[in-house]
Amino acid sequence: MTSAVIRGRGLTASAYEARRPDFILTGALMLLGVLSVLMIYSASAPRAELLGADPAADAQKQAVIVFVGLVVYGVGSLIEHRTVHTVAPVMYVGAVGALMAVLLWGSEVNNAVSWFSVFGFQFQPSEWAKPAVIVMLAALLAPAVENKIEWRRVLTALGLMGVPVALIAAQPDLGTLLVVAVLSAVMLFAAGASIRQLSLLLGSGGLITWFAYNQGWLRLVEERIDAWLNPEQNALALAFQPLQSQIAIGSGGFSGRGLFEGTQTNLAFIPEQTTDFIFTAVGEQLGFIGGTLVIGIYAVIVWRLLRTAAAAEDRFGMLVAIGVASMLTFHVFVNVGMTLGIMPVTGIPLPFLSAGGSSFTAMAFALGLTHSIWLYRSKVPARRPTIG
Amino acid sequence: MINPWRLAALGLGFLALFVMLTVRLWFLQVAAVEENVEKASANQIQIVYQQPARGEIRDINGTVLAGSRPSQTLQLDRAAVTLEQEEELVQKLSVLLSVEQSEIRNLINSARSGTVVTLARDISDEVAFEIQEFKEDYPGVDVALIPVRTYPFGTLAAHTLGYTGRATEADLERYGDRVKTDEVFGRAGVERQYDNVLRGTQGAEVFTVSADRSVMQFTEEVSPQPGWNVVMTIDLEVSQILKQALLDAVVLSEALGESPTGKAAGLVLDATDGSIVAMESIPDYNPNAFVGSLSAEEFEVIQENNALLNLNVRGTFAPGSTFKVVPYVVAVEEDVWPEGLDGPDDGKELLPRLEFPSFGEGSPQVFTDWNPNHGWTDLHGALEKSADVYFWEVALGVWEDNSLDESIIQNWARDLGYGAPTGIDLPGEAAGIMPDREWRERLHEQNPVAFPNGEWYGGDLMNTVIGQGDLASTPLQMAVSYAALVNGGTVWRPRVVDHFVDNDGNVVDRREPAAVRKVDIAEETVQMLREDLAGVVRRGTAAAVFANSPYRLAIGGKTGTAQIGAFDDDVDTAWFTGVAPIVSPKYIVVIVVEEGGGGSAVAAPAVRTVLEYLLDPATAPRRNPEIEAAAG
Repeated sequence: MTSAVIRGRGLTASAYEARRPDFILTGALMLLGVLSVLMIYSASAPRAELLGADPAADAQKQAVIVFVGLVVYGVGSLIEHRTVHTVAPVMYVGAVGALMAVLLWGSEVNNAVSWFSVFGFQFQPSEWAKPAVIVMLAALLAPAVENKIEWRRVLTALGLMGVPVALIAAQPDLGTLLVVAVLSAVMLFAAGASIRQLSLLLGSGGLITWFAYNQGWLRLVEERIDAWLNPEQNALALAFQPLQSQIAIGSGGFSGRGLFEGTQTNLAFIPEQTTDFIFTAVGEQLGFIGGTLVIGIYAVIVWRLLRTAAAAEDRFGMLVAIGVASMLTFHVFVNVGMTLGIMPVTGIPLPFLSAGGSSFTAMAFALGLTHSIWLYRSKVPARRPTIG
Repeated sequence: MINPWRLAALGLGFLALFVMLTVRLWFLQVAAVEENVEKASANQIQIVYQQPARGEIRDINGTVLAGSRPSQTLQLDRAAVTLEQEEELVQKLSVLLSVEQSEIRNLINSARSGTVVTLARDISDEVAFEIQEFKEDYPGVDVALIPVRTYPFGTLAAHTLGYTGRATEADLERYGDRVKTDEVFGRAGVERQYDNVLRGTQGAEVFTVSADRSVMQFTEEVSPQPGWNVVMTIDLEVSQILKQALLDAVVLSEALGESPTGKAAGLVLDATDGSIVAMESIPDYNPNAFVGSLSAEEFEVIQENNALLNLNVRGTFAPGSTFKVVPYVVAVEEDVWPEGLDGPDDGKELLPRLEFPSFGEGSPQVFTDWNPNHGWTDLHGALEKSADVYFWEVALGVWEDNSLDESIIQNWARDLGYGAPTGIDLPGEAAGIMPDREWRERLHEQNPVAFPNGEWYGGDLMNTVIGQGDLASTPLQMAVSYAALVNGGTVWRPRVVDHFVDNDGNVVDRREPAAVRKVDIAEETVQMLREDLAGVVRRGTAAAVFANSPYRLAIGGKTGTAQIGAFDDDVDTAWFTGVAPIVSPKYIVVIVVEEGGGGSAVAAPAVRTVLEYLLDPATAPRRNPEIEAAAG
């Protein structure tokens, strides 16, 4: 009996023993961090110089953010995902609370209330809401069985998603709302929702959107989409950024104008260039080669995340990895797509490249959690599904 | 765990999104690159930059010293007219505005083709009406309300405020197409030093233009951000008093039979934080004159008088006896005393003359005091009576004491702020000269023709300690050094700007007081110097001027009468540096009148007026009665 306990313990210990870290994932993250500081410097320095301010100020700030982000990533990697599993509801309630707080006490920037200051730091709760929703949904859907998810569970998932979505919609922050909706749908799909369930959800989602559109609740969205479809004829207030952005990227050509050589980036007006439109700086200065490289780095990260999902030790881990992968992919697609004119303008940052602390650290934390799932992955190959 | 087909579907889905981005990127950057270049060259999007409102400059109490007013401006859009039409317009406008045709033609030609030219400012309502009523007769001409810089107080504080002007070649190079013809740039003073802050951020109007360049769509996109308002440390009231005191001092000097050059400078420095309370310089100019188009003659007059020069920071003068506080402090702190004396209270009968070894070719040089009858004198008396011989003997002590650095007096002076720019936030500050052996040798090496003498003699040091010879100081340096000596050793980096305010009245930034260095002076020395500066006013060289001042016990100071040129004793530059309240000094007032005569007779009365006003703004006379009488 004694020996069985010891053996059992030993088994347990070895099953959860940390494995070799994912150097490719970690390396990709660090590469993006370095690129972020460089690009923000190139996009902010000339203007700052013109205004007589410190040209390196924005880049220095970002360097600190990147450093903190990497630390957060490391911390996330060390947290065993079973711990996360148990505290998921706490994280979720905390995130919802922060979203409520920001509506009550937040400050308005660009007609949206999405920020508030904590001890002098700007804090954007919607960035942290995304990982919280992922973790919560993963905890909810982990016990479900492929193709046999009860409707009750699906509706609970919708409800859990709905609360933060409604709070984010009130800010309003269209981009984040879309990301949360999409990642929830993807997680339901990965958890094993049946085709019937998914099509019903999709159908009713479509109906609600159609209704809201007809009620005129989506005027803001309407304008954005109209600007996106008819940029040249449209009021340039809305099409200004994407058009300038496309010209900037287009002028980069195959190999780019060279680092710190972009004229559009440096002198023309691309508002919010260090934040949401950072990809224009990449496109103009580093050209098709640099742009593809950046997209490639994201693809590599997503590949590592899917691999983690496949190797995960339990369904919770798998679902978190899928959630983070879909969040990242959709972020990149919506943001880069917006600068390339194939998506409407929605204010969401490009993960790990855009200036800003909340986005970088929240994303780094999510990535760290997934990395931890990789570190504590199943040791037994038989329990791992094959991929490809 | 996860159904393989679901994972595969997700992987493919994600991959598809990344591929879409890459394809689109390829399309934009490689496939359609020619189209994009064409797009760019056809200028389908045209940006017109909008000028932000220039920030105001205010005095410490919020009074606007430089602001903006709307001006009816006649503009011609060169893009809208042909060359023939332009020629026709020149004739019509010449009649309408009653100016020479050539003048209008020059204005038009000075602007690049396709841009908007300002033809006349502040046009009358009749002219504006004519243009607007008969628009078709004046193609491309329009009347616009353009903000124009205005300085409500004219010449007052003009040198500190500076002035604005149109873009120069250098500006065009820097800002390119973003410069509009009616845009102004700071050219001097605060307008120039804080140009970036005052200008604000340009806005942009964005047009889409079709191939024939007609505007298809127009939307304001980025609104201009107005510049910050600059709040100076300058006090307008004090400036008025100071300016009048300077003008009166020149008149007084003339009344006394001197022939002043008309150049005079004065400033009030806060010894507790380095802020400039007032700074005036004459001759002066009216910055409003630069707003319109200044005629060549007008500009020449201003240039010829050197009226643009802020003598407080750009003028260097021999400081004369006002400099004696430096050897005074060196004597005490370094323990160097005239022969036979030991300490500040130890005195002796001063000789009227002093023979100094080795001047020129080794021959002894005899120096004669300006007053041969100083009698028994200790350090206190030496400062009060401004006894040259006493300080010469201190210099001799330094010269002959091999254990002391030969340049110790100059080093002290440099520490106190002489010989280098003080770092004030105004452009073009002069460094002044603090001569010593090294300086002399360097000049000679650099240019042996202009400076044949590369040697440094004891006589040079003698001249230096009484503020003569090659020594040159700006009035500002004088004020900064006095502030440091009486405040216990803090050498301030003087400042004329205190903080910045945005249009909603929020303070957006501050220029905190900053010390350049702290000079180590014993507290007793500082105390003693204050008492002796008070002694100058109570019984010394300035006693007569302050005799009937109700504030004489609160004031200290030092006179200075600097000889110009070695052989002409009659031409003196008058200095006075005043300190008040002398028990805990706050204000340093320095006034210098070039070739104005004696410091006590000419500069001290002017300083008295300013100090009395500072001590008691409510009841003190705003002009010195004696000077007022002299000025008539």
